[in-house]
Amino acid sequence: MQPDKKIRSYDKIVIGAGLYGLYAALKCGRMRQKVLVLEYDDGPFKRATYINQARIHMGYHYPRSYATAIKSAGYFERFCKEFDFCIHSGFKQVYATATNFSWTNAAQFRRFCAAAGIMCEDVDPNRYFNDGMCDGVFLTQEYTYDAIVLKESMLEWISKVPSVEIVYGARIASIRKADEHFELDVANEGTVASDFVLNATYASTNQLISRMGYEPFKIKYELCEMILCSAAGKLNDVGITVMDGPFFSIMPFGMTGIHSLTSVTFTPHKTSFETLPTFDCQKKSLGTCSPEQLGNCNECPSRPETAWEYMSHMARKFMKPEYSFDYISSMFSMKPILKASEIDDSRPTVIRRHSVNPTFISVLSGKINTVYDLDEVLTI
Amino acid sequence: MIRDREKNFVSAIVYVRNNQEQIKGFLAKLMGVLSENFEKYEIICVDDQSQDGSVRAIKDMSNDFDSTVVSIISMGYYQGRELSMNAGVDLSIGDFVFEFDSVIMDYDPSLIMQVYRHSLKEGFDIVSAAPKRVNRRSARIFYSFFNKFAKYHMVLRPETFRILSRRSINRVHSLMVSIPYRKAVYARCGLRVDTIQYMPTIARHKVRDRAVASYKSGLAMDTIVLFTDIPGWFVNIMIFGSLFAIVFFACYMLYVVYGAGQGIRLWMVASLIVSIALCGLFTCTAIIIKYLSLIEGLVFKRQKYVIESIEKIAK
Ligand SMILES: Cc1cc2nc3c(=O)[nH]c(=O)nc-3n(C[C@H](O)[C@H](O)[C@H](O)COP(=O)(O)OP(=O)(O)OC[C@H]3O[C@@H](n4cnc5c(N)ncnc54)[C@H](O)[C@@H]3O)c2cc1C
Repeated sequence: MQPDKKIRSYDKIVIGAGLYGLYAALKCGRMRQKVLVLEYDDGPFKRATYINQARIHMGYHYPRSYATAIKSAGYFERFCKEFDFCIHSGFKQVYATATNFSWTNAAQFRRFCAAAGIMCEDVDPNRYFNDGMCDGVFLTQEYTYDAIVLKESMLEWISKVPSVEIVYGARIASIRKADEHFELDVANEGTVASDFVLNATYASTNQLISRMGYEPFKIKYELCEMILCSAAGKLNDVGITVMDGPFFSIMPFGMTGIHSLTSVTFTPHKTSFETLPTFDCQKKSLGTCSPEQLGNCNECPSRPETAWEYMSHMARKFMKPEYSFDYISSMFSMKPILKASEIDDSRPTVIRRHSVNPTFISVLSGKINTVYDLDEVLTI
Repeated sequence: MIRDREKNFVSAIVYVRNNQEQIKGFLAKLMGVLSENFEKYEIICVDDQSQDGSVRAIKDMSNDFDSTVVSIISMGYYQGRELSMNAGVDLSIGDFVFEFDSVIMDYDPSLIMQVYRHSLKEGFDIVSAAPKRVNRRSARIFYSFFNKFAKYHMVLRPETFRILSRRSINRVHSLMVSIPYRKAVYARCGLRVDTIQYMPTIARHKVRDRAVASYKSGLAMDTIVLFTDIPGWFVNIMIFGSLFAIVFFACYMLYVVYGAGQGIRLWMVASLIVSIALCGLFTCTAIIIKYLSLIEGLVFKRQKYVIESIEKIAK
């Protein structure tokens, strides 16, 4: 059955205009497909793609898994080559293993880097850290990307592809399977249809999946705070990450000239273990957020109080006083975390085909630079 | 009434070992005091392998932890109060750190702030709260014995909690890699230290815990070996005693052989000498071995303590 005349139909409908959604739209548009992007917020890149640490992972974070590390290094090279215009690499990225409570010690980290073939030069711990805090300190090769610069370019490229259409402020009133295609009623837009729908809504992924009645991902949710700070002194051209456990990271935030500060313990404010993200702050969100549809945490009227005191105290306990930093602002975003049973180290991006012909695919990835994992489902 | 709250960030480390009955009441009182007086603080409960529902009880309270962060460190196996509290202090991030060695609050909660203010206003890096009356006989014996023979004229007494400045924590850690007995190390860290005594409001009753009892007697032995002069004296006495015995018997032998002109029963005398000398030697060796094992513990053990997990309790 052909879609109704009043219904606009597309080769692909992409839900969510984060990096994953826009990457998919651009890629398909360049293949001359007619693509519709539906974005809930009033602009692209307003959630996780912007509000995150902006670290282009090289593998250092996985000192207990060689497979992930080696795979990360590959993604790193490709991303840095293709998106070099939004990458800031002119700073010293320092990784340190904490003396207490770390799951990895200096010798193990050194060995791991050697085996994974990634740069790791010993530095005197007393250069950056207070006496006895870290048993190993290493200069590494890792960069940061600038989401705003990336967004500008993505939008410019997309504007050159006339077959891609983006709707901001999109409210999907209903979504249903009708024979060979999916039909979506979008407020103010009417009904749109396609035989290929890509769900790239990250933290909202289960919300859409549940509306379709498909099997949700096994995830938990963390409401995360990332702090922006000025680091005018010696920290200016240095990024510091203390691992492997309940520690912190303070590093340049893209090309903005300011730093991001996060901590394993204090960045997550609230956790939800439900299939759909359920938080007590939703009640105070003035109707902008619910377990059925997440609002934008960063613009929420019931944003949590900042954990700056906690994070800054932790960082100052470790770092020498000359590596000083000051508070600028806080940003909040929701992080879905796959439960252990769903994790396959060699495939950091989880792609689920809920339905084939018509096709409904959900993509969930914990990293920016693994966006290429989408290629395999887009070329069909 | 809105009061000016302290800007200093404080951490409170709480030692938990089979305290399911007391822990909720204790945490409620502690949070009451801290949230009234400090803008920001954290609580770290160190669970030393409780066999009862202590951890459950802490997690049950998570709804009350609205504006504060509570973490639980679970020790990998029973390691005793000293190592557990060291782990807590290592995790803490506060400008000032409270160490609560026990969750039995036999004092008025206002004493907590009294201790803090005493440290801040009078410039003491470490201030302890100590009960005036000590009920446990074993404790009384230990402390009077220890104080009599302690090196550096240290005077210790049972304490229930104390506050440490970040400066004193850094100092202590630059002095020693691992801290076998906090009180003794704090007492000789060279910074200003003081004690506030209080009259206990309730009597502590004794709980039977065999692991704790054997840990405590072991700790007492270690403390005496490390921080008193007794082993040194003992070694000296044994060495001089054996020497004296040898000389005495040598003289006696000469007298028997030459002076009295009697038949020589040399093997008897010799074996006597040898056994006495050996006895002294063995005792000294035993003490040396004890020293060595302590040194081994202090220097060579990579891991000061073994933890199983660290968990932040969120709502
Ligand atoms: C705190 C934090 C730190 C991180 N740090 C790093 C890091 O250092 N390095 C790294 O590589 N990765 C990091 N990540 C992960 C990274 O941010 C994500 O993997 C990546 O941004 C995912 O991109 P996305 O396009 O899938 O999601 P998003 O950018 O969140 O895009 C999803 C879009 O879907 C939209 N949406 C939601 N519901 C609907 C709906 N019903 N209809 C229409 N649109 C909808 C949203 O508005 C949003 O724009 C971090 C994540 C977080 C949360």
